[in-house]
Amino acid sequence: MASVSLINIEKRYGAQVVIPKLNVEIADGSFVVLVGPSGCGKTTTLNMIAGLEPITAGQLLIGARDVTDLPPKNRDIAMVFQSYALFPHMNVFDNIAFGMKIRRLSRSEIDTRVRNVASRLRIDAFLDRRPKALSGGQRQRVALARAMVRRPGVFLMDEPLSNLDAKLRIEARSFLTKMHHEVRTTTVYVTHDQSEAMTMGDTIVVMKDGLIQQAAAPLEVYNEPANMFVAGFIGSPAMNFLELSKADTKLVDREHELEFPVSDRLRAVLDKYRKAKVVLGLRPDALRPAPRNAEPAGAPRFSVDVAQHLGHETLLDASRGPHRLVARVSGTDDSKIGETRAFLLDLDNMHLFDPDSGANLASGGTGPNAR
Amino acid sequence: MMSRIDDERYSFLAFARNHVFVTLFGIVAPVLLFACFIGYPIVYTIYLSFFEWNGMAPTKTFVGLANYSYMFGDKYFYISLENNLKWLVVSLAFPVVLGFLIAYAMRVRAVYFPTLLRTAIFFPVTMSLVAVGLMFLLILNPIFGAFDTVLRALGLGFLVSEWFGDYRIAIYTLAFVGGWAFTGLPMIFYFAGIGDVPKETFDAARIEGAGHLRMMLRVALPQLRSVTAVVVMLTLFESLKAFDLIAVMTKGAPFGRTNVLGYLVYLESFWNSRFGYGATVSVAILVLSIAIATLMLGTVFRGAFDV
Amino acid sequence: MGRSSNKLTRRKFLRTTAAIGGGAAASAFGLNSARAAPIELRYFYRAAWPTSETYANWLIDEWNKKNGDRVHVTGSSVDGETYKTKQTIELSSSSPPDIFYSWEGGRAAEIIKAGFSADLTPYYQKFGWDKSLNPASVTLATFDGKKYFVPTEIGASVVWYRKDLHDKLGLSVPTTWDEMMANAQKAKAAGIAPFMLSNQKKWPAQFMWSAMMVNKYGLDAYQGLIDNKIPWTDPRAVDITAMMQKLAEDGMFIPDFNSIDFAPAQVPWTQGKALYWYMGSFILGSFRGDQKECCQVPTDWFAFPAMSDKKPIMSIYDEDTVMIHAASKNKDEAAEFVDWMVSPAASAKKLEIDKPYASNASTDLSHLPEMEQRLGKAMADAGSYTFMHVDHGTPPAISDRFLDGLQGVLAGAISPQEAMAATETEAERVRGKIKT
Repeated sequence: MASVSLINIEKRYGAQVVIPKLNVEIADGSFVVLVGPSGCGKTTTLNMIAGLEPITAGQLLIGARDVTDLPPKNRDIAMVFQSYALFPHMNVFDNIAFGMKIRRLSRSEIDTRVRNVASRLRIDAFLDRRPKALSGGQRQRVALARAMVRRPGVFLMDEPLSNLDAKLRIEARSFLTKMHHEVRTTTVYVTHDQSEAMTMGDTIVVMKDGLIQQAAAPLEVYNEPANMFVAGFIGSPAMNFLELSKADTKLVDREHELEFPVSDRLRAVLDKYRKAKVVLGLRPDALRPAPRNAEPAGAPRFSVDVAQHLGHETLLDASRGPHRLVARVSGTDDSKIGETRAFLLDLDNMHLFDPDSGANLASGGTGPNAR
Repeated sequence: MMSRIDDERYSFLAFARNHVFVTLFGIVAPVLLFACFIGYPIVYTIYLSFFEWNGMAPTKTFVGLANYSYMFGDKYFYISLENNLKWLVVSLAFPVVLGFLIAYAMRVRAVYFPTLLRTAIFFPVTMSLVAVGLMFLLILNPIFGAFDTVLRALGLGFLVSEWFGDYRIAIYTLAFVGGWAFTGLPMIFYFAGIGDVPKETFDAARIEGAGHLRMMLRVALPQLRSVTAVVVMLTLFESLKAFDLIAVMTKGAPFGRTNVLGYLVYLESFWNSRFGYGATVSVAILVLSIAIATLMLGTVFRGAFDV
Repeated sequence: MGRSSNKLTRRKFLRTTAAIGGGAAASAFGLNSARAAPIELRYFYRAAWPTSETYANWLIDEWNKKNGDRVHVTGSSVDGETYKTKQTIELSSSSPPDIFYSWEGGRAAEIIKAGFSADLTPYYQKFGWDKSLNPASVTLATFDGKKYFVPTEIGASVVWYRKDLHDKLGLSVPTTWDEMMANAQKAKAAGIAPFMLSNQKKWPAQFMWSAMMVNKYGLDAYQGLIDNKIPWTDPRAVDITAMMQKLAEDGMFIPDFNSIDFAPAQVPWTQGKALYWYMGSFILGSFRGDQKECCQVPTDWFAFPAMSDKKPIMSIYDEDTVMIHAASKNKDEAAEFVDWMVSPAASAKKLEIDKPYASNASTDLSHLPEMEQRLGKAMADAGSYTFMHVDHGTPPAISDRFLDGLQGVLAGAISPQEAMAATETEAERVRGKIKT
């Protein structure tokens, strides 16, 4: 087991800079998720850690060892690919044993280890089958077995669940988490799915355009997003953004008769803020419609465009003027389409962003647009 | 739905009426072309092999199996057969292996100027073998040939041989020249084939610690069985057909030791005016091709084309 | 066309095209379209050398200039090697050529036997060819008393030697085998290969073999082999083969002789790497190279010397010959064209742009170098009695086996007995066993 340090890592293809300068510290035994939209550089970063892509500049340490220029096999890593990358012409046993055979482990040692890992991953019944004869979930576990069996210092996983159907994916998610708790091997996990990132990682590294937007524990990323990009990317449905004007202790859009009070904590932040325009960030669950017979005066009113009934909850798409938002409300809500409703706000669950830089005013971090 | 399929299967005429264009150009024309240009020559060759005919006389004499019994006692036939097998072995060992190596090297970007290299290696495939033969007659010439000069310059003068004159090596010289011209074909096939192998399997193998040799043998080749089967079949037919180079470069010399079956057909038919016997040897080539191809597809390449 | 409008409609275009086509066809018949269309003859020939093509074109053009409105000749050619296979196909086609190239000897016999060749005896009388042509060449055109082809080029095989090397080594022209061998030893001692041999395609070694056979055991013995009266396993044939083997073993031939082809052999010859070269006179074309006159290096010749008390005999043969197809509808006109081919004027031109020697005995050789004139005279004086080398004398199947065998012996791979036995086996298949 080993820690991983990316120090000033750079990746260029000719003149095109893909990753400008990346610094990540991955603690021994942790589960780090690199998440971001496609093209954000997360897979490139993983491939550089694996040694499949050369590092243009910077230093990569695995377990305090400089492995920047070492070939993959000398980096003490194992990798699980999105397509599983099983060898189609070998049976499950040989797939799992491939790396150990290369490392010339004894036949009995290989046999013991393969059977061990196979029974842990519940694939011991298929050892003599070809990958073609396995289901997606089984193949995924074979790929995992192949990575685990060598007991590497670091697991690298490149979207290992995205080829599974939705139900299996949720199963595999908790299975992987459970495995990680058992073996405690440092894991770097790449995904574009924020819910995977939230549920699995000790640490989430949100990336965009080759830059780290925020690296923190999942709940911290959720509750204190560094900027509008992170706030919008993490959480589903995404955070609502409303561009408003500062008016004393309130945020308003006079033209459309909208008025939002802010909490004391944010008022302090707002006092120091010098610009007139500010973006209000509201998670969908920070809003709920006021009972029709008890609408507080001055509460923001939106007209309901769509109601998505999911059973235990309902998503209301509402709008007013140019402003659009989604509210996650109780499944018993009976808003009619076209109806205008007043919304109650959870004052502690509001975020303020600089409309130009996108930075979270409370955290004082840099925004995604500040390059 | 089931009944519709059954209906169509049992009424080709109805299908033909409804799809005149498809029937004409998709079924009738190909069958006719095949019958005229492939079927008829084969049947005629087999027919001719039971006759004695000098190619000029208006009549052919029926001789039954005489040509065949002569063939089984003909020393030249056996030398040619042996040479074809040598040719096949050289072709499998040299151009096919080399073509694969080059294709692999280009795919893993282990070579400079891959496009230029690919063009250079493939170019001879497009050349006429007659031109290739004439070119190598000059290159391997003992008097002023570039090859011997290069060998001597490299201090390998002891390797200089009579490339065409020495009866022990002449057939290999020819097979290597043939291989030089042929390398581009397996290379292109393998280049395309490796491109279709999922890149992740190579990445996975690399991470598991495989070197290039293991990646070629244990990862690439097993996933390229269908390509290999096609390439081996092509090589097989190509080496059984070998003719042009012999006709240009040695004419069977030295003393018949560079005869191959293809050249023997030419020699017997057109030179010795024994069209019947030439046809008999042609039939032997046909039978041999089918037999070896069937054998290979049934054993080493069993299931190579299964999806 | 000029009067029509500039707009070219589809119909007009077609009409115009047809008119042009018709006009072109009409003009091909010459200006005197009122007269009957000329007789069309087709001449199918073998262009073994670039100069052969040039010369054939000249022949046809000259003829058509003079006689084109009466008898028009069209030529078509293939290269030397292809002709062997193309000939049969052409001759047996439904519209065969009227006049075609032929080989002498065994190949000619096959063509005659197949009935493709017209009996030319009457034309020999009509045009007096048996008087105007080299007598030796005419002998070879005679099969069972009838004449079937007309030689257009004749050749002789002699020992070519490098005059300058001869002088340098202080050698004199040998008249006996022993003298020649003594010279050969001296050349070898001086680091020069005694004999050039370019045997890669296996046909050249037979020249020396047949000359030795004739000069050691006499023409009757050699002719007995060719005429299927003596088996190839005869001790005399084996002995000559063994002598050739000994020459090879003793390093009498240039090194790597089985790897050197005929054309590249000019290089070591020009470099003075070999002293003697026993070869046909057609080699003069190569000796001349791109010069106007022979030779690029000082070269002369002498007849293959005597090997016994028998008078040495020079091999004279027909290098190029023509036949008239038995199925030709215009044999008389074809014979007229053949007569033009062997006329003194055409023969003189042949010497100028092609290679020696024309078959017409009265051809003016005076503008040739003295050495070539001397050879031409020797051929004319040789009388009518001479011999062909094995590949001309025997059917291809036998000669091919013979050449293979001889090459194998020279390579040291098989014994002279084995080589001759293999030849005899093939000969028996072709002509049956010889009853003794």
